[in-house]
Amino acid sequence: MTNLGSAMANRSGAQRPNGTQGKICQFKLVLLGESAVGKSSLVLRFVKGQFHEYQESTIGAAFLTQTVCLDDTTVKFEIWDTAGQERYHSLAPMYYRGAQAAIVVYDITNQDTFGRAKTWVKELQRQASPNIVIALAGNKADLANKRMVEYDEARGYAEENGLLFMETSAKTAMNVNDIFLAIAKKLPKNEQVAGAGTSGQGRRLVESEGQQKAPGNCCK
Amino acid sequence: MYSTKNPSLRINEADLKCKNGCGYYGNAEWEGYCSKCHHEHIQRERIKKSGGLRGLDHGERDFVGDKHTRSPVGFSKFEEKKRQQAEKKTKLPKLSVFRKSSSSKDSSRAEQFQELSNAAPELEKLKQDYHDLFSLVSQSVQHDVCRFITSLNTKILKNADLVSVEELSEIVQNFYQVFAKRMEANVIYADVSQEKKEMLLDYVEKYVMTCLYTILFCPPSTADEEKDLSIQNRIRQLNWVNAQHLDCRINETKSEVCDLVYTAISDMLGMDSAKAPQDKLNCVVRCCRNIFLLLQQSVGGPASADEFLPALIFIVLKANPARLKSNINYVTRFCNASRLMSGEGGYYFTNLCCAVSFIENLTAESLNMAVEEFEQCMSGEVAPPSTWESTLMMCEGMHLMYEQLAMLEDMHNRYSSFVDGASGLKEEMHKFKSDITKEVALVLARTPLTIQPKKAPTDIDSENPSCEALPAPIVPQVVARQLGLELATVKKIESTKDLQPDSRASTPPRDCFSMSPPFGLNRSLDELITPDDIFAAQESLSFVQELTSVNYDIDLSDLSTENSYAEDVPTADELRGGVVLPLETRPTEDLTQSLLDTAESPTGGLLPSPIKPVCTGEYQGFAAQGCQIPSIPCDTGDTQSLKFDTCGTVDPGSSQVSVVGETVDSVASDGRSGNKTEETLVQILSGIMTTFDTLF
Repeated sequence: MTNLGSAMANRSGAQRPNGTQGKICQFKLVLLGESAVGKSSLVLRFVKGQFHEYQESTIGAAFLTQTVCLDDTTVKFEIWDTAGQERYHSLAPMYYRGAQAAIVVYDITNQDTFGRAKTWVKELQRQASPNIVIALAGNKADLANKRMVEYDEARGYAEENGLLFMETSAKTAMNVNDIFLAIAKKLPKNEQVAGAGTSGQGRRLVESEGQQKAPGNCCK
Repeated sequence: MYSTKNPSLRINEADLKCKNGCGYYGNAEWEGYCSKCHHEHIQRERIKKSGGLRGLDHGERDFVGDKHTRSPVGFSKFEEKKRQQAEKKTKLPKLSVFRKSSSSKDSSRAEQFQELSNAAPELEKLKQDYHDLFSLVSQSVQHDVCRFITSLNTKILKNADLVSVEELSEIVQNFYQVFAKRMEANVIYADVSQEKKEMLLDYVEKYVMTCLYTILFCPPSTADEEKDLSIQNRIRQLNWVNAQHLDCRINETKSEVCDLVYTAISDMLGMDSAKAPQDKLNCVVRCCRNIFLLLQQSVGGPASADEFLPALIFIVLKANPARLKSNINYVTRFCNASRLMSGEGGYYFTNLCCAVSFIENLTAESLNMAVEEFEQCMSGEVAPPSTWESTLMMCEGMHLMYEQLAMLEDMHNRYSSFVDGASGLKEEMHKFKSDITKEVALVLARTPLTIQPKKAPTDIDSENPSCEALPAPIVPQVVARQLGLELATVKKIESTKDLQPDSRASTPPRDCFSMSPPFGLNRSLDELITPDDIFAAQESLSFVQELTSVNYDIDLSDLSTENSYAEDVPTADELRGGVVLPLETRPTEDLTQSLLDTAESPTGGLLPSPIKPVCTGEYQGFAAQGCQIPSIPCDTGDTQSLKFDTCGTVDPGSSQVSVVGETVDSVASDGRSGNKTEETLVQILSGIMTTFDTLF
């Protein structure tokens, strides 16, 4: 939490109270990727600032929400984790249906996971909503000595396909917040586009705003 | 929980027979008839169908209304419903023709709505739950909400029979959006906070859905129920699938995990009993949260979707919720779409849909199994060992065991308390017994006094004074035998006395013998009765020996007590009288008392005179006894002897002392000689006894 807080503070200016001005946008973000690439670790680092130091309150990492402040917009991420096992692959469309953003995660120490990531990207581009923002995250960057997927290779692939790309480390918190911020920036801030059930959007946000536990993560 | 998993158990053999009761087995495909009866039934149905649409429509309405109260159990019912469903599909286009003309239908629908809203007790509960909310908003808002609810209800009721469920869903979803927008835009909602607006929307949704639940849930126009049955059968077929097959990290053997699994399953099953879509969704959310809790126990950290989805599939497989597809479709159609697309509920519901989809499309590959093995398992040929099943069985066994253990403990407690009581009783009885014996002993110790009279012989013994005449002849015998010489010397001196000389002269040595016979008589007589008396006789002998150091008075009292040894008070008195009297009143009469007389003599006036000769005689006696003189234990004896030497007749006191010393001397010497003579004494005593024996 402290790591995250300070990282956020460095980038962002002074905090300001939530919901007083600016737009509130809620986005559904899906996490895709082979199992054991560190999807949930990434989310837990982003949302709770935790890594292998779980608090009692954290009972699950499958569904989490986090709010980031971006200029005059408050962006609320609703992060849906998906089962990475091959056998559940066919169920993925049910998860990314209606999602505005997706992070496809692979493990830089495992070439296979990168291959799986590519298939996910292809599937998303073909089947998900057309203006979905896709980010590619090469996780476990702290294990660079065991690297199997070259940075340039992944970077090249991301540029070809118009993806956001970052190598991240849930362990050291490297680029974790940055990748979410980058997605938030890229997402269209037009509420009509963002919301699936447009009418319910505003209400839901206010409700969840009250539940927000980490105002320290809110940044300009 | 288990019974819901095996609805087949509810079908007994009678259900399998032909509905016509012809005795042949029926078939579900033939609506529960045997082939022949089914054919006839079909024929009849065709005739009926041509009978008229109107009547059928009415019948169907009834069916819809009743549906909720009647539980759709059994195949026959399902088949019936299916048939009506099929009829409806063919009928629908025609019905639209009737629509405009049937204005009376509207009123009937309004009635139906009234009926629905009045009948449902859930609505009352709902009203109560939201009472606080409505007390916070203005009257106009309340009216507006009510108006919306009524309008939606009538709209749905109007269209219920006419349009497909999808269209109805569209109407409802549109209504939600319209109402939400109205709340945003309308003036009357201006001062209502966002949270309250949310709650109002919730209320509207819940109220309408609870009202129309019977119409909108699993409508007969859809294939929902078929799907329910097919998924139910599918799950039943897959009941061999265990956590390992799914890569599910549920630690089934842990009791807490097991409990959580049970809770999750019951939450999942609870979905069917809820009416409003939100409530059904909440059931799913609760179930999923429990799954996360149990995964936390097994995984040791926050579970990710990698662990969650297999666990959810496992729970769905083990729960086999009733009308699963109907519930999912109902929620999908009529729950506010925004709720399903986002939020925790939406996420979990999506997962549930994924789980169901996975189960429906489950193949050997998705379980990482060989196709043949999978087929075998599906056909029931092979049943892979399932931890869950064994755990269930074990749990049941454990439950039973715990129950029985508790029962055992109870029994043990009862038994131990019983044993305690028994031992207490036993102790009491023992105590009682000992008390009684003690008391009896006490009473016995006291009562012998009354029982003793039986010892008539002892009483007879006490009459020995009358027999005392006998010892007299005995005395001479003894004296003659043993102490003849001594007596002769003594006699010479004591010859002055007429009666006493014999006894008197023979006192020192003979006294013991003369004394002993009467005692011996007593003893010997006693001996006749009890062996104890032998001992007493011996005692008396030893007593004789002890006489050397003891005063006569005491000895006599001892003797008297020894007489009373017979425990017979009256006889003792008699004896005492017998003994005492001779001592003082008739000293001359009795030989035995003569010795006693000497002891008591100092008091008697007559005695001093005999003392004088005694002194001299004694002195001589001393000389005669020779060696026995130095053994005199008392120093007074010496001085007195000196005194005697100087003044022979000084005073009676001194003479008395001298007499005592003399007697003591004699007794002492006797004791010594008695040692030798003991045996003979006993012989004599026994002789006396035998004589008495012969006498009696």
